[in-house]
Amino acid sequence: MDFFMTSLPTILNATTLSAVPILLAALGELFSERAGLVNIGLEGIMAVGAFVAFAVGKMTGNLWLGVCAAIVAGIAINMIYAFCTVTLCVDQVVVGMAINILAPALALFGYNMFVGSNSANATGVIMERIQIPGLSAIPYIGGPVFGQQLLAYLAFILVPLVTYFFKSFRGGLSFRSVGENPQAAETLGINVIRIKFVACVACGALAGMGGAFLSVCMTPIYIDGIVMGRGFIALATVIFGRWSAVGIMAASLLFGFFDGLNVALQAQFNAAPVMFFKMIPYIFTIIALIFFGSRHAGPKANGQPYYRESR
Amino acid sequence: MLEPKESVADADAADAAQSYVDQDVDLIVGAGNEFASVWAEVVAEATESHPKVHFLITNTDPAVDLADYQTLDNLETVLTDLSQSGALAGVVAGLMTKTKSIGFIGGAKLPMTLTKYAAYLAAAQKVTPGVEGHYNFEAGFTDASLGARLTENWIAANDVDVMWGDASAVDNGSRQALESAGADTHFDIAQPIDIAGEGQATVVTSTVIDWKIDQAMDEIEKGEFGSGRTISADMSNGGISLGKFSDKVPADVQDKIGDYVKLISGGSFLTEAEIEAVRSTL
Repeated sequence: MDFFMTSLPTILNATTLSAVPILLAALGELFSERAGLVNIGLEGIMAVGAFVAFAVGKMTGNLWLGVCAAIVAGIAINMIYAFCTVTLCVDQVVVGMAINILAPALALFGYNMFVGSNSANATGVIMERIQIPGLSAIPYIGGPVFGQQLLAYLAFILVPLVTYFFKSFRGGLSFRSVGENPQAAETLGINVIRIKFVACVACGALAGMGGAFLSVCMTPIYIDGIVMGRGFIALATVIFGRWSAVGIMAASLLFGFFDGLNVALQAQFNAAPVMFFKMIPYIFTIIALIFFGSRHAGPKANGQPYYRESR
Repeated sequence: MLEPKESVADADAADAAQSYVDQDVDLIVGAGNEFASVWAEVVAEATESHPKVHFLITNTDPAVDLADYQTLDNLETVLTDLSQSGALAGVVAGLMTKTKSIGFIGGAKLPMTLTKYAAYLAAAQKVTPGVEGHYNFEAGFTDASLGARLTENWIAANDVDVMWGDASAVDNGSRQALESAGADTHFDIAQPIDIAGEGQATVVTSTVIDWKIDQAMDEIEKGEFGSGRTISADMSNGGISLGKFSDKVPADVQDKIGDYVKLISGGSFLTEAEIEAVRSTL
């Protein structure tokens, strides 16, 4: 009991911190999969987003410019995916893997150019935390939950907006139609190709933003491998969250909780085998996928190339 | 001319070395003993085909790490005195802690990591009896957020106020957590380069390592390099030292540290038994 009470603030803080980049990337993936595009290249897009946000934030001294640049970079990288999968109808998994190899290498190349022998460029700054008056004073949970950076609050505000978009907006319904049956959607006058490209823009932007969170909110540095599998976890949370924004948020928070628990256990049980604790979030991911991983629940045309002339 | 290759994956380490061999460079330096396990073939071939190419691998014990090498003719290693390094950090930590609670993060659970921590805690306890140590030896070298969260947890749960790290980027995260907790009351000891100063609010000093590359180059020029010799980096030859102090270390504490540094350098501060007493508990 002592362990949980003393570690609770750290666990809760880690829960939100760990959840946000996954949530952002997973919301991007939601746009993509709702339009029938399984994008496993999130990991690579996040890496580029993390580097660009770090470098632009450092150069300009304005972290929000860094975030904006990461969004643009994420979109640019994902346009490669869009062109290959939508225009050329190349296998989505193959292109996603290629993005995962190409993008981190580009980011590392850019980092080496940016830092080089100038070690002053190796460390940046992180965004200020914003304490929500009143709520942040709640014992134990106040600070960790209501004392986050603005980008974290924005990520959570996106959840109802995305839900509303897919449920109540004509554009959202068009996305869903394209993901379920693009041929039928085309006959209704929906421009399937355009929807898929728009989905890739949204996916790239949100995954880039998720990467930016890692280098301007979580830590003040960029390092090769900074994403550490979060892009793949985001893919799993889309499935676990049953392709709904609220479900994705719950799955991201649950992953964040287990990640926070892992760190608290590592910190407090020095002599125990650390690797066992490190496995906790990933074991949870596998278990969640076993129980909730049926792809039958997802968009029916997910992962399939769309040939405009085919009926 | 120096041409570095960074972030070389283990699988590419031999190819990276071979590309330098093909360029006939004078000296190829492997920064870390992970290179010892993948360079055996390259070193053996280069000894025949490019006898003027020399290899230097840091943090490597020839008896342990080079046992399967066919030839050591063009190879030397550098071994730092980790007990001295740990003792220097421990003395600073012991004198700077107000809560008698200090932390350490290591990237990998290697014998040398355990030695560093054991000397660190033993030294801290010697200058300030009752100091408690908190550690994590398997944080890796890249996840700065893990360093931040581990340190944050130790600060919240165990009142840790001084940290020393051996985990590269993870240490950046640790410093971030210390700064958030208050840079006037929470301190970091950096390594292996001297980074105390502006922009590093929590760093009070650094344990500095000089890998003695200059010594290796001198030996090459004189034609004395090779035969698997080990270059020792310790306080006697400037291989290990304490960096500059920040203004958060009071003058009287700096004087005390200076006295202890002399004892450590002279080998009369910590005994091997005292270090082993801590190491045996890990």
